[in-house]
Order: sequence, then C-alpha cells, then structure tokens
Amino acid sequence: MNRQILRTIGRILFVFTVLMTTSLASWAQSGPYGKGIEQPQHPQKPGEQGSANMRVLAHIPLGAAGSVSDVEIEQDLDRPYAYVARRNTEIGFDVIDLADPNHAKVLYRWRIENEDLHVGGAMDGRYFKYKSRYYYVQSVQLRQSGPNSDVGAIVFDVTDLPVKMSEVGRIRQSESPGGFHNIFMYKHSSGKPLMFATSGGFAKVFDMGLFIDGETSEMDSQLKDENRELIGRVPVAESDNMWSKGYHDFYVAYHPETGQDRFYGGGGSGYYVYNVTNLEKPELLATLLGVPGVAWGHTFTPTPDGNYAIGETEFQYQPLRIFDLKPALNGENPDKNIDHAIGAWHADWKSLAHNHEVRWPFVFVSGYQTGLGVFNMVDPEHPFTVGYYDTFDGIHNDRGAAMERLGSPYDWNVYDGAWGVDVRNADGLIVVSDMTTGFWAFKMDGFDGWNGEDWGMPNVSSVQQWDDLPSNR
Amino acid sequence: MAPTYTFFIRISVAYLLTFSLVAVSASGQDGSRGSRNMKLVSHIPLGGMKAANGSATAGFEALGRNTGDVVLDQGRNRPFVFVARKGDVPGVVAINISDESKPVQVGEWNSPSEVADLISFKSGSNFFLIATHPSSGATVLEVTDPDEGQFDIVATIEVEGGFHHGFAYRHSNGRSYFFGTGGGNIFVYDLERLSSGVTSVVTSIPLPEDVPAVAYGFHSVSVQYEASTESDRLYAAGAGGYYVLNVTDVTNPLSIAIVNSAAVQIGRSVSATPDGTHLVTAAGYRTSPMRIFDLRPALEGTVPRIRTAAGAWTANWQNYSENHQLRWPLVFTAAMDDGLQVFNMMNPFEPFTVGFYHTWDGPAASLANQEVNLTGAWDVDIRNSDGLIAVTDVNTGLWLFRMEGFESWDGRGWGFPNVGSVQDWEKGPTRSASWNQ
Repeated sequence: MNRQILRTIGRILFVFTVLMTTSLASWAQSGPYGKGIEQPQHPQKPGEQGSANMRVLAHIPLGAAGSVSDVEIEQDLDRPYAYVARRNTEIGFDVIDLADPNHAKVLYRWRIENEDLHVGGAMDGRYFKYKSRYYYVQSVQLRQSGPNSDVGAIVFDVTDLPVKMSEVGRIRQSESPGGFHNIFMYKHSSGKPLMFATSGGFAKVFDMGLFIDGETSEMDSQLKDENRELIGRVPVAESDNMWSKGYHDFYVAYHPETGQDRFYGGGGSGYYVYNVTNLEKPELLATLLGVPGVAWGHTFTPTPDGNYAIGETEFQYQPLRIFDLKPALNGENPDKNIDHAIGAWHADWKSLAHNHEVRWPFVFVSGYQTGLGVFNMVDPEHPFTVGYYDTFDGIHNDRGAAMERLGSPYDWNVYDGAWGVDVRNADGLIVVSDMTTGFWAFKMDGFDGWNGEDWGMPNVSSVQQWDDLPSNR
Repeated sequence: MAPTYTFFIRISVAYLLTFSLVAVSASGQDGSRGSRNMKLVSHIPLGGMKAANGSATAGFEALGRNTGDVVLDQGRNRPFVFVARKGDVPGVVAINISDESKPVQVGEWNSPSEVADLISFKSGSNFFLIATHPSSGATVLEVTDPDEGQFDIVATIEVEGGFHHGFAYRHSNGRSYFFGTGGGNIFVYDLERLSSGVTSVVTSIPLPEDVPAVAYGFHSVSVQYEASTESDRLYAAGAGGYYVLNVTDVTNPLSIAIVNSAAVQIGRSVSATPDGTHLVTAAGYRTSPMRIFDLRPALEGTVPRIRTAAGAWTANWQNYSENHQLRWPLVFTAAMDDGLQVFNMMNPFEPFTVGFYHTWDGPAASLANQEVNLTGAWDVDIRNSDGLIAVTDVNTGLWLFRMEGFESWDGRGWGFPNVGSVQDWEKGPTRSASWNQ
C-alpha cells in the first residue's frame, strides 16, 4: 500500500474520530431529544434577557404597571392586528398595528365610557370572522361597585381597521354579575361561531352568529332577552367539597379521531374534558382530580391529537404539568380520572407560568416573572426549554414591593409580568402582553409558522378556520 | 514534510484519550457524590435492594425499598441507631456505632406488620422505642440494652387506621406524651403509662376545621416548648396544610394559627424554628419545594391564616423532600432522589444549600412512573451532642455523615431556646431558653 493511500486512511480516521466523539458528547449531554437550555434567573447578565434564538421585533410600553392583561393576534397576514386588554387604571383595549412588526405601533386605544366610574377591567380578548366580517370580543370583569357589572363581553366590528372600528353590542348576564374572566372563540362542527365564557359556575356558550345577526323578530326588541344567544352551558363535574364551582379558563378543539368537539376546562378542583358536539347535552369524558399539588385548575390545553394536555394551576412554585389523557379517554381508567402528571416544566421553580399556547411540539408560555418561555414536549415526560425572553424586568419575588406597587388584592404577589401569549400560525410571529412592561413581539429562530400536519398531527390549535368546518381541515 | 498516516493515527488516539477524560469529568463520574464539606463516615446497605421476588437485580421498578425511618440515640453513652426495616420481613434493627466508621448490627426485632415511624423516649432510667404500624397502631419496645439484642414489647397500641407518624414530647407540666397520627385525629398517650403497659388515650385532637375536598386528618406532628409565652405548641401537618395548637393543657388544645397554602392539599411534615416564629414544611409530592412560613402575622392576629410562604427551597424542583430535621439555621433534609441535603434558612426568604450527599445514585425517578416514586433518602436524624448525621435511604440503607463546621447543636448557641425534636427527658423544656437556667 503506498504512503499516499495510508495517509488518506489516516486522515479519514482522524475526521471520523472527531465527528463521532463530538456527536457522542452532544448526545450524552442532551439525550435522544435534547436537554434544552436553562433560563438564567433575574437579574441576568447585561444582554442576557433572552436566549440566542429569540429576537425582539417590537416592544411598546402601554401604561401604568398592572394595567395590561391578555393579548390576541389576528391570524391573516393581511390583517396585521393584535389586541391588548387593559385593566385597572385604563379599562379597554389597545389595537397594535403589526404591518411592520419591527416598527409596531398603537393604532387605536378604546376605553369604556365614564372610565372613572368603572371598577375592574378588560381581561381576555378573542376575534372571530362571520359572514366576511371580522369581530373582536373583549371580555370584561366590572365590579358591582361601579356600572356595567352585568356586562361580560363587548363586541366590536373591526373589519375596517385600520380606518375605523365600532362597537356592535354588549353581552350581559345579569343573573351572574361580575363579567367573564375568560372567553374562547370556536368554530363548532355545526358551523356556528361560538363563544365559551366563564360565568356563574358554567362555561356558557353563546352563538355569536345570532348575536351579530341581531333581532330576528318583532318581539326581540320588546323581550330584550339577554339569553337569546345563550345556547349551552358546560357544567363543572361535581365532586366532594370542590375548591371552586366554576371554570377559570378553557379551550375547545375538534377531535378528528372521533369527530367530536371537545371542551377542556380548568377550574373546580382540577381539569375536565367534555364532548360538546351536542351543546344541549355536554358529555363528561374525563376528569383530572386528586392530582398532587392541583387543588384547582387554571389553564388546560391539549395537544392537537387530544392525547396529552398541559395544565396550569396559578400557584407559586407550581410547574406546568403534562398529563396523559389516554387512560381516561380509552377506558383504561374505569373512573375516567387521571390523578397524576407524567411530566412537568418550569422556567424558574420560584415563580409560575400563567397562560400558554400549544403548537406541538412547542408550548409558548407567558410566565409571570419569567416572561416568554418556549418548551418542547416531543417527549411529554421530559419537556425541555428551547427559548425564552424575560419581558418582566421589574420586582422579582419581592412581595412587599410588588404589593405596594400593584395594590394586588392577592397576598401572593408573584403575579406580575407576562400575562398572555399568542402565536400567528402563518409566520410564527409571537406576541406577549406583560402586566407591567406592555406589548412585545418576537421571532424564534427556526419557527416560521405552524401547521399541525407538518408535524404529523391534526392542524388543530387555538386558531380557528372561520371559513371552513373543523372537520374539513 | 507532509504528515504521515501514523501521525493521524497518533493524533486520533490522543484525541480519544483526551475526550474520554473530559467526558468522564463533565458527566460527574469522578466519584464525588457529595459536597466538599460533607464527610461520609460509614454506610450499611441493610439488606440492600433485594426485591420482593428475591432478586437483587430485578430492575429499577422492582428494586426492594427496604429501609425506613431512623432514630439516633442522643446520649453519648448510648451509641445506637435504630432503623425501621420494610419489605418482606418488617421490623427494626439496632446498630452499635461505638466506632461510627464501623457500625455493627447488634439486634433486630421482627414486626408482625409494617413499621412506619420510630420514636424514642426515656422513662425513669429505661429507654424505649415506639414502632408505628399503619395497619394497626404501634408497638412500644424497651431497648435499654440494645447490645444484648433487647427488644422487649411492653405495650401494644391498637388504633383503627393505625399510625404513620408519631412524636414523643417532654411537656412543661412534667409529664411526657406520645402524639400519634395516622390520617385521622392525633391520639395522645402518657409515655410513663405506656412504658408500664397502659395504653389508654389521654386525649384525641381533631382538625381545627373542616377541609374542603380532602377526606383526611393529620399526617405528622411535632411538639415544642415556646419559651416567650411559656406554652407547649403542637405543629401538625395534614389536610389543608399546617396547624399550630396550644397544648399547654393537653386535654384542651387551642388552635392558634392555620397555614393554608394553595397547592398543599395535605401537609406532609412540619417543624418550627426554636422561637416558634417560622414553620419549615414539606408537601410530600414530586415538584413540591419545602416552604418556609412566617407565622407572626397569624400569631399576632394581623391575618386569620397564613397562605403565602415567605421562602422556599428545593434541591431539584422535579423531586421533593420527605422528612427533615431543623437545627436552626440549618435544615437537614432527606430529599429522596437528591439524598441528604442541608440548607441554611437564616434568611427565610432566600434559603440556600450548604451541603449534600447523594445516597442514591441510580436511575432517576420521574412523575410518569409511579412505581419508582419512593426512591432515595427517606429519613434523617441528628445527634445534637456531636453533630453526627444519620440518613436512611429506602434503597441503599443507613448512612452516617459529618458536616464540616457542624460539630454539635444547642439552640442557645444561636440565641434561641434549646428546643427541637430532641427532648431533655430529665429537666424538661422550661429551662431551655438560657445557659444560666
């Protein structure tokens, strides 16, 4: 064998060795799915608020600390609008123009009339499309010490943004004053645009088509029936000595495997799954009760296939838990109950997450004092962080200071920072509302959009396809 | 001159060697299982991890979890450790640690039923051990002379629902009591009467209030003298969280503070700082940290109950701690998968880890697999006179440690009354506040 060939073999061996050891080292550190990254605790080193893969496109401070609540982004790229709900010192919502995400700006600030008389604020906001027009629904919680405590949501026609928008009407529930803490807009398999709303111990279901179409008979104006659009009530399954009687939050999704519309609610003493295909007879499919650390459910979102779900409790030190729903849904657990999580995720164990959006395998989280966090749940038993940006640069875990500044009715006071998060599926734009620092827009490297089918999943998320039935996706 | 093929081969070999060393170091395989200040004194596997099917190599899930609670005798002239044994042959083993680097098992008692907690006490000049049984109650054993294998049954307590935990307390009234918990009321017995075979109940203490959604009572209890008010205070963990009761009149307990923390449906364990102002608590489920509560707003009447922890500590948020011993400012915890962990709570808002030793270094347990939930360090005890630390690991047995700089503990050395889980059976607690008393 001549020396040239031997030298070539030696070179190949060297390169092979380096590649193999590098790969092995990487695998050993990360496991088959990756170990992820770790978000540094506050205060971070200068410039280290975010992971290297998370880019800030825009940040707009909106007002006084504690005056910002949830955020919603429209999904059509030709309608570049986000809506940020406002509470306490300013009651209403702000419309953000994202035509140029790098130069986002406030397009409109809507405030309730006689703002000083009202007590409370706007909470959750959702948009929907009906008969070619676009509507934004702003949930409100206004206390009885001021006017409009029976109003749960205010509906706006936003079709003509950026030129104008107008209030269409208000949804009232005088039998259960205090408003709607959360709402969810869902295109039901029946074709109806539905609004699910937290109210009086139920998730109340309103047919928004009926609401928009308005009076259909001469009697409507006389009856002024505030329940005319109320077409269903999803109960909280009874159990002994419940922590609460109502829902805090919910999510509704089409389940392609069964053809059912499924409701996932957090509240009561845990989490609940109902079949709401027939809204007159919601069918309880599963409960998640008796889970250690979960006395009450806050937010509950399934994976696109409905096999797993992420649960949040809104208590300090509590992680986001991942549950395997299959044993309850497939009959393996005769009592239809799940009593333990199979995985958990934290950005910082001293804090807690608030809301989240699932775009499997990613979960986008608005964590109170940790800001935006993104984790990968491809292995639901071992979720890992893949990106973050701390939008909240204020008081971390300092109860006295937070109480003084926010005047929170809670004595918890880690409840400051990122409240809401939303994701635009068309291009992967991420928006976050932070209670103190305002509106943020981000892009994460490698996340340029989401369609469940690209991941071998049904294309099911919080995003609705208003022009089509969910069964046709 | 162009490199030869032997050059590349040499480079490859050198690279592989270097990589191996770096990889071993980076993955923590250098043999270190503890912090530099934690000295391992000795270790006895105590039957190891033999599974119920008799195999010692049955796999992680089927591994035997054969070791339970631990009691370190506090007397310098009583160099004994008692360890509860689980598994096929439940009972208690006595270990002589005259030479603590070479512990010797000197006796054992085979129990007719599972042993959960071990509680030691002294009555007259004799020494006793209470072994609790979750199925039936408890057995009172005289263990004055463990070297002779003494495990003489002096009383058998039968209680519906049994006892999981217990606490022996020298009361300010001069009597000594056993407080037993098993998921219902706390049952109180007179220790002197127990030692003579009389098992009548002095009193039983119910939850101070009904707790929504939890059909349970108390899980564990400790009792401690509160010097500033000259009262005896009971600290209990159970349904709804944690409770503080004045048991100066043990037959008339008075609720004086309630801690209801969200996400704690059932408190697992609780102890109070020597001045009674703060609670150190565990919730006993995976992902729960140990929470520290400032009781003062409730004790002063500013708030009706405490809901928010002042601070919290965890070795690893994905795991949890089971039992602990408080020797202010240090808290020694049996932190399951994370082994022995010691944290400093001098600033209760920001407790921090000061020492550790991984008594379990096998596969990691997880939320998903309930079969392996009980893995690692279960219980811990401290000998106050010389700072010896005993840890029982459900898988790996008994471990003895010494921590640098922790050579004894007396509350007065830290400006506190000298009270805690260790009792002064002769003098009682009323003179614990000062060196001069």
